[in-house]
Formats: sequence, C-alpha cells, structure tokens
Amino acid sequence: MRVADSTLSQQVVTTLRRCRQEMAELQVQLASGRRFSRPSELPRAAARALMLHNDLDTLERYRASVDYAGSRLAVVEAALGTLTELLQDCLELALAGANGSLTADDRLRLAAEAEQILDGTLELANSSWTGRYLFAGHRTSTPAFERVSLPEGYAFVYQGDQGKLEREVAPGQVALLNLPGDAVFLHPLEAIEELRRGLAANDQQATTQALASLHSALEQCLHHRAALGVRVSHLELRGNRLQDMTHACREALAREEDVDFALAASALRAREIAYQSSLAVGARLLQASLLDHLR
Amino acid sequence: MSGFSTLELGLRSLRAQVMVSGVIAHNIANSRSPGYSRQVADLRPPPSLRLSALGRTLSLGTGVFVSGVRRQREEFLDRLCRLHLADHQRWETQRHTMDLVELAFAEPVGFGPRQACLRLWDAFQELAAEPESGPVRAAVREEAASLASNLAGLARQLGALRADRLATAEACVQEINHLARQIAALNRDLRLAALHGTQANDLEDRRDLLLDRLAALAAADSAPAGDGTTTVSINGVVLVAGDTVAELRVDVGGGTLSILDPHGAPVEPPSGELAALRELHDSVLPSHQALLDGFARRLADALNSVHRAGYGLDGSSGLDLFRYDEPSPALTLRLAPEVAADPTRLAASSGGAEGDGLQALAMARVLTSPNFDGMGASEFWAAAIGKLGLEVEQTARRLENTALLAEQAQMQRARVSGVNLDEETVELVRCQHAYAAAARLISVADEMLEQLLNRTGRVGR
Repeated sequence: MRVADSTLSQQVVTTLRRCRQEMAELQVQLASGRRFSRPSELPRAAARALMLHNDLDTLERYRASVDYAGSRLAVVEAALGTLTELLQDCLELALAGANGSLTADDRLRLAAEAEQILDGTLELANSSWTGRYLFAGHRTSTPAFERVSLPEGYAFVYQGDQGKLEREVAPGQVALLNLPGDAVFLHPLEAIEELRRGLAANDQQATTQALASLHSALEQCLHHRAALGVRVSHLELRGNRLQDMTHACREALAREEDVDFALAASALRAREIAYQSSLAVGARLLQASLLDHLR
Repeated sequence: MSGFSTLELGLRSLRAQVMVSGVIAHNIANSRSPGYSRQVADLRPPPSLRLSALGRTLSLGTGVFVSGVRRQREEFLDRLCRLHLADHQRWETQRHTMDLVELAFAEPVGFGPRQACLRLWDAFQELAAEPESGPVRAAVREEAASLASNLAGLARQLGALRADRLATAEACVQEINHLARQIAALNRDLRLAALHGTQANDLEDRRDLLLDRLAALAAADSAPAGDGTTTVSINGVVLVAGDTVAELRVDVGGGTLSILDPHGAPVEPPSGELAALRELHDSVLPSHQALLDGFARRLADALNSVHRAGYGLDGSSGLDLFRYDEPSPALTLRLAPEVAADPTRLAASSGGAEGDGLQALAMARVLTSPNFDGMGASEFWAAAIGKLGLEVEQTARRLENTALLAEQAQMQRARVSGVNLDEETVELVRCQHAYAAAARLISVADEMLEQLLNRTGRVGR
C-alpha cells in the first residue's frame, strides 16, 4: 500500500493530539477531584449528582429548620417551666392563706407576694425572643397580655391571635413552634389574680376557691409541658433522621462525583507511557528519508 | 535507418528524461500543498519504423516520448471524502455551539438556575420563620432578583448564540457564492483547455480543493459535464453549471433560516456546516429558549398568584412578585417594581399579622411542588441539565465518529493522490540513470559516425 508522506505526518499528529487530550482530561480530573466538570462528560452520573445536590441542599435547609425549631421550642419550654414554678409558689401562698388562723395583715402580706408573682407571670407571658413576643400568635410585635386595672382588681386582655408559627422540617411536614398565649397564660393569670384578690379582701372562702383554680391552672400548665415535650422529642428524632439522610446523600454524591484517585493516577501513567512512545516512534518515522542514504 | 537516427533517438530520450524529472520536481515541490495530487508522466515509445529488408518487414523502435502527464485521482474517493467532510463539519459546528449552551447553564460547578431556585426556596423558608425581619426580607428580594436575572441572562446568551448562528450562516452563504464564482471561472479555463486538448492538472486540483470546501460548507455534490466543466449542486439545486453561477441568499422570514436560490426556491443542504447552522437556529436553540420561557412563565405565574393573596408588612396586598413580558418571558423576567423598591411589601403573611409567615411558606412550596413539568423547580433544572448533558454527549460522539471517518477517507485519498518523497527520490534516481545512459548512447553514436567519416575512404591515399 502506498503511504503518502502527508498521511504519515497526519497520523503522528493525530496520535499525539489524542494522547495529549486524554492526559489533559485526566489532569483536570485529578486536580479537581471530580469525575466530570461538565454534564456532557458523564451525563447520567451528572444528572444523578444534580438531583443529589438538590436533596442535599434541601436536607441542609431542613436541618437548619429543625435546629431553629428546637431552640425556639426550648425557649417556650423554659417559659412553661418557670410558669410551673410560679404556680407552685402561688399554691403555697394559697395553702398558707387558707389557714384560718391568719390575721388580715398576714393575708395582706401574702397578697403583696401574690401580686409579685402575678407581675412575674405577666412578664413571662409577655416574654420575647429575638425581638418578637413569643405568646402572641402572629401578632409578634404587640405584647401578648395587657393588664387592665378595674375597681375590683386587675383584668387581663389577650392582645395576640391564634396564629400558628410553623416551620417546615420535611417536605409537607411542619413543626408547630408556638403556643397561643391565651390558652397557656390566661387561666394562670386569672387564678393568681383570684388568689390575690381573695387574700387582699381577707376572704378565706375566696382563697380556698382560688386554690382550686390554681390547681387546675397548674394541671393545664403541666399538660402543655407534656405536649411540648412530645413535640421536642419528635423534633429530635426528625433531626437524627435528617442527619442520617444527609450522610447517606453525601456518600451517594461522592460515588457519582468523586474521582477514584488511584485509578485516575494509574490511567494517567498509562497515557504518559503511550504519549512518550508515540513521540519516540513519530520522531523516528518522520526523520527517516531515502535522501540520507543517497550520495 | 541511419547512424543519425541513433543520435536522434538519444536526443529524444534525453528530452523525455528531462521532462520526467520536471514532473518529479513538481511533485516534490508540491508535496505539502493542500489539494495537490501526485502527477505521473506517461512514457511511451513513438510508432515504430517499418523497414523492408530482404523481403521481410522489420519493426524498429524509435525511442521514447512523454505522451501525457496524468493526475493520480479517483473520483469515487473524492465523493467519499466529501461525504464525510460534510458530516464532520456539520457535527463540528453542532458540537461547538452545544458546548457554549452547556457552558451557559453553568453546571455543576457554576451558579445556574438550579442553585438560584434552591437559594430562593431557602430564603422563603427563612422568611416563613421570621417574617418581621428586615434582613431576611432583603435576602428574599436579593435571591428572587438573582433568579430572575439568572434566567434573563441565560435567555440573553441563548438569543445571542442564535443571532450569531444566523450571522455565521450568512457568512457561510457568502463564502459558498465566492467559491461558486471561483469554480465557474475554473470551469471556463478547463473547458478551453479541453478544447485545445491540453491537460490542466493543477487547475483541476484547484477546483477539487474548492469542491472539498463547498462539500464541508453545504454538502455540495459535483458531476463532470463532459466538456471539462463540472456541475455543482446542493441537494438537487444547481449552483454552478459551466461558467454560470446561481448565487444563494439567506432569508429569515418567519423566524426560520432558509436559503434561497435566485428564483426564490429553497435550498436545503443535507449536511455540512450550513445544515448544522440551520438546525441550531431553527430547532435546537429555540427548544432551549422555549424551556427557559416556559419555566419563567410558570414560575412567575405560580408565585404571583400566591403572592397576590398575601399581605406585606405594610398591609399591601394583591401585588405581583415577578413581572414579565410576552413573547419572551425569560428575557424580561424581573422583580415587580413595588417589591423591588421595598421588601416590606413581600407578602409573607396570609392574614396580615406581622408574625405570620404562612404565605412565605406557601411560596416556598410553589418551588418544591410539581409545578414545573411534574417536578419541583430545582429538580426541573437538574433534569433539564441532565438532558442537555446527554444531548451534548451524543453530539460529541457523532463528532468523534464523523471525524474518524473523515480522517480515514482522507487517508484513502492520500493513498492514491499523496506524494511520497521516497518514491519520488527513487524515480528521480532512475531518471538520472536513464539520462546518463542516453547521453552515453549519443557519444557512442558520435564515435560510430566519427569512425565512418574520418577512418573510412582512406584507401590509396
């Protein structure tokens, strides 16, 4: 077969170019640690990797949301804890006040104590977190309760609404982050006020009645705490599960995207050898000429 | 038959060898010229001399002469080569453009619409949790604007690419016309040469080179007309016949790129660069534009309907989040000016209360719900980019295949038409020997004549 000189040189150039191209691709892979830098290099793996990236970003968002929900519920939980303590203090006052041997002055002193507890409870009901009132539903910029002074004592007006603060923690699943203030605090506030009034009026009968109200308020509070506890533990489970899923997702992503360094390095070595030998062969082929042997 | 005829024969031989060495020199000189085909001098003995002697007829040879110089070329290989050249150029053009499209979508390392969608979703989630927060609102505005400008930027890039394909097609058609005029001129010269019975190998090489280029541009076909000229046609429409040229022009009426001959008839190149440019301009790029436009329209409509139902911090309601103009929603997608001016108008609230983020949550869910061809927004883009990747990969594979075939066809042709310097050197050495021998023949004949003229007729002197 005739082989034209142009064919020979063309072949040498083509081979060298192919070697160089393959080496450059491997070099990019090794330097970036990624199996592909453009979707067209490995379209199926790239499509799977993009989906996994979506999942991973979504999971990270949900994890952040779970963390946020957790810290927010912790604040609510702490408030309920304090409320329990306050109500227990009140119960002690009420028990003391129900004692028939007390004088009117003693009861007035107890009433003053009850008023302090009342102030504390109101402050608790109006507590805020990052500048937002916790127990006012959606109306987070207005204090949850207002104390109105009436001739016969104090009345409490709930200024919030029943709005639920929700955070999405999984596709379509929300965690409830708040409790409506009126359900949590109105009864305790009124019970404490009832006690205060009874004590201030030196009315043993009323004090005993307030004891019953306080008991039911405490029970309600404990009920809320228990429900909240269930929410928090659910959230923790959700958080753990998200962590597991994130881990699995990262592993899958690494399988799609990451270069097997040992494999790539040995492939590069093989290409290097091919390149060196085609250089050597090319140089010898191109230099040979009959003219060297003619005088 | 005389002693002088031997002298004459030697002279003929000398002349022939000089001519052959001229042909070899031409081959060597053009060994690197593109489109050059090796030429071979045909050596032939002239008609022999018939002598009658002693009742018998002798046939005596009278030497050698160059009967012609042939170009080494196979028409079939030319056809094969041009077929593959056209396909190669077609996929080369396609690949080049698809590369740019793929780059525009900036995956998986850059910041494309997929990430922008995720970021906006993330920002909506934040807003749902803290709808009163000014910084969170500003962040939502930035992410929404970034998604809009991302889509608009993509639409602009695709539009620019499409416009550039059109400009390239116009340049391509101009080049085709220019080549056609050159071929027509060569046709005229070659017809004259054929009339005079002369061979014009180099002119034919030149014409074949132009035909190669025409094939790469528009898969042009050529057929010899018999009078030395060649008729060039593209998919049946005659471009050059003899020395007349039917100049083509580009028409973009109705948004599609058509190529018309002087009578207004459409020319449809089956392959080559022009076919690729037409396909890119008329179907490939518009399909990506339609994808973008469809996404932008659905995104804006779905988010707007949720946004309009909600309330901003300042009590505003019924506002759009995005605006766009038909017929190119992606290109014109932007944040509604009311919201862009004041992020407190972002309608995060479902009832108007400041701590209510339900509408923001609903907007986040618009992005994850199957609003976009049955997928969420970021899944839509992941799928679209996966599909684009496949498309580009397939184009690359076609290019690899056609490049290989074109290379092989060219090698086949070079096997016949290419110059091999070793071969030429050997021919040159043979030529040199033949020349030396012919020269020696002349000197021998000379000596024989001298013998006759100077040494005879001296008897009795």
